[in-house]
Amino acid sequence: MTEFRVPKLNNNDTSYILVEWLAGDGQQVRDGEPIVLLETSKATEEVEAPADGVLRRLVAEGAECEPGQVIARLLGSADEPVREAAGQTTDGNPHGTDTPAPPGDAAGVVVTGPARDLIEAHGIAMERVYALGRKVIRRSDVEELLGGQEPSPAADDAPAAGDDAQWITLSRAQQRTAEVVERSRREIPAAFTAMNVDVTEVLSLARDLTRKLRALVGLPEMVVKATGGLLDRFPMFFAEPGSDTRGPGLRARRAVTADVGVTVDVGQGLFIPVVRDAGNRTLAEIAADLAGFRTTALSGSFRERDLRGGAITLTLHTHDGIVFAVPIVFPGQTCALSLTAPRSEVVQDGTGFAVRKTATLGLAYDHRYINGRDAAEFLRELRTALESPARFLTENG
Amino acid sequence: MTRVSEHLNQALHDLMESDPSVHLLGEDVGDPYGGAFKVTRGLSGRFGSRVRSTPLSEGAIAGVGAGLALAGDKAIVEIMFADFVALAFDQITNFAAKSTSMYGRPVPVPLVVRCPTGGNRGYGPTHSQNPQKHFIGVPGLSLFEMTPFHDAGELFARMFGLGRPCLFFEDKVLYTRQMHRVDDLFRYELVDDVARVYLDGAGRPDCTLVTHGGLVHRTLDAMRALLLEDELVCELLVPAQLYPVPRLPGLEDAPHVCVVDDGTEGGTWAAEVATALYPRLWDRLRRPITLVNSADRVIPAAPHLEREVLVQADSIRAAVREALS
Repeated sequence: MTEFRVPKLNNNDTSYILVEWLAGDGQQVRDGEPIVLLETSKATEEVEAPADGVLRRLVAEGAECEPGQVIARLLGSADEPVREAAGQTTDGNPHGTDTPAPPGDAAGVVVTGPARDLIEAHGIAMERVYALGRKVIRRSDVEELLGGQEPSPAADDAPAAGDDAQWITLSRAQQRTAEVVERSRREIPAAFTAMNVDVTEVLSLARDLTRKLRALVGLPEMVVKATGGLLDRFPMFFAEPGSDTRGPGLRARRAVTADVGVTVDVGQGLFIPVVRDAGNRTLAEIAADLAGFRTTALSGSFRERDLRGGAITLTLHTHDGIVFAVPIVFPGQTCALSLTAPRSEVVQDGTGFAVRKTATLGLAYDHRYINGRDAAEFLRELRTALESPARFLTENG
Repeated sequence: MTRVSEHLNQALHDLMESDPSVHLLGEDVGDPYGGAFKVTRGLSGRFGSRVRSTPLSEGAIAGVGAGLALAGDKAIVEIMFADFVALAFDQITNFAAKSTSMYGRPVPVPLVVRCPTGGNRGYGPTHSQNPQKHFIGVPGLSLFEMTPFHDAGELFARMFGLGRPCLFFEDKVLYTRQMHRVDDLFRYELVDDVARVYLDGAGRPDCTLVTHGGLVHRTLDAMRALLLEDELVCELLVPAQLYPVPRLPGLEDAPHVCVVDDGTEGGTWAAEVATALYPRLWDRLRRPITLVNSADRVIPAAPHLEREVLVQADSIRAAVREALS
């Protein structure tokens, strides 16, 4: 037996499309005979059999295949007998399999789906249908056969088939997200407050720092850093609720460092990797962490240790046009922040007006531990830090 | 069973053998490469210096082709991807097309510019376009497109017979499809060189669709679903000559017409067809002609995003259902 592998046809494609098999499954092919047509991004190539043998296809027409992948086997005569391949089509034009094929025994009469449903619902013999002498049988033709009687409503209610195509299955990452948010909703009485922040200056500082540090610094990086600086003044916002979250013995465990989780979702599911000790690390380090997380989200997979043990969560809603967002409080935490993309707003400026960049900071908080007043104080401190960024950076390294 | 690419290759072989004045030029058209899509395979070995692999300059290729045609020979020029024909725009529109009638007497310019066109293959924004609309309405220039129903040899003969330069589009998705093969529900016939695909014995269609070669299979898939699931009978007209728009047969009793074109919205071939049909059908149309085009967007490289931009069977079906509802 010879394995037939996809040859490397060029240097710039990682995969090719198997357009067409030029030899049938179970067919005897000779060394050097073209057996498959592959399409690269620039060309179609016929590929020849590397040896004599009986072709066993392993990959269907229209599928993608990679250089080196085994797409067929060539069996010698001593190999296991090949079973007959039935009904091979080579036009590579699969019709939806759920479309009923027109019956061949009635000289090309076409029966539409709705007509077929009604025929089956009423158990009408096909001979009667063909006797109408029409080439196309529609639902109205079948109703005619039924003698004008009203079609029974049952015939109209197509039962919901247990058809897999009707269900959207969730990825494993999404299943995990579902469990977490469901638990949060069940256990945490959350309230919400939002505040507008003028981010004009912090954005221009971030641009300068991006050049200086050679790392992407944006508003999320700044907010992580500013949040980290609030641990000492607002311990409850970083604390972990005790295991007994009911009754008079309510307690929360202080966090030693401000470990800030940040949402990352590049379309592969939602992940919340954690920036460790955001209060005491430099902006460059924080930026490097977040850049690493984005890369991992795009092309790798997070390790559990990246995702464990956040003390507070920053959820990013930086799509253009979002005004504010209410985050879910992560179980094991007392609050979660949300951040929108900056937008231009006209604000009062002395006796006139100025255009400033603003963003909305939201705070969802567990009302058992935190009240509205605390929330407002916390947001105000955050806003102060972001609106005078030079100071908070020099104070906090 | 012949694939469209093989059929084209055979037609080129026959043409160059029967007419020694035909030259063929293009990037990588010589063997062993035989053209990016293998349509010119085996020609350089048989016809020697009449087949030339050229440098990467579409302007030069089209210009040399037009020069050969002007000097009394015939030329077929291959543009590797239709997108690159933009680089030959000046030679085609200002030199080849105008040369037919700017010297005080009619001058034949037997030039055919072959353009592998269209997307739906994940080739990205610069290798997937349909540039037809940019060449509509150029005096002296005709547009043709390969279809699964038309004999390529006859089309080459027709184009050379016109004595004016022609752009000949070949949708890349057709290359691997079979010639003369149609969905098992439908039949087809050629009426005055327009392929008419119809449902035998179904009487008057609910809608007549008009499309070009590259969208035939997607349109047939839509017609199949429209018939079997929506009980709407459609007929399809596929002209090989796109511009000037030829007379389309059998529209006299069509209650509705829908033109399907994979060019992006705005100044399209579909609009040109509708413009040609309105005066003729004005008294009978019950509603405006439906135009189905690709979205007014740059074609994305990611296949799932590309599908949303380009015309697909389900968008054709939805447009017909919407129009007839």
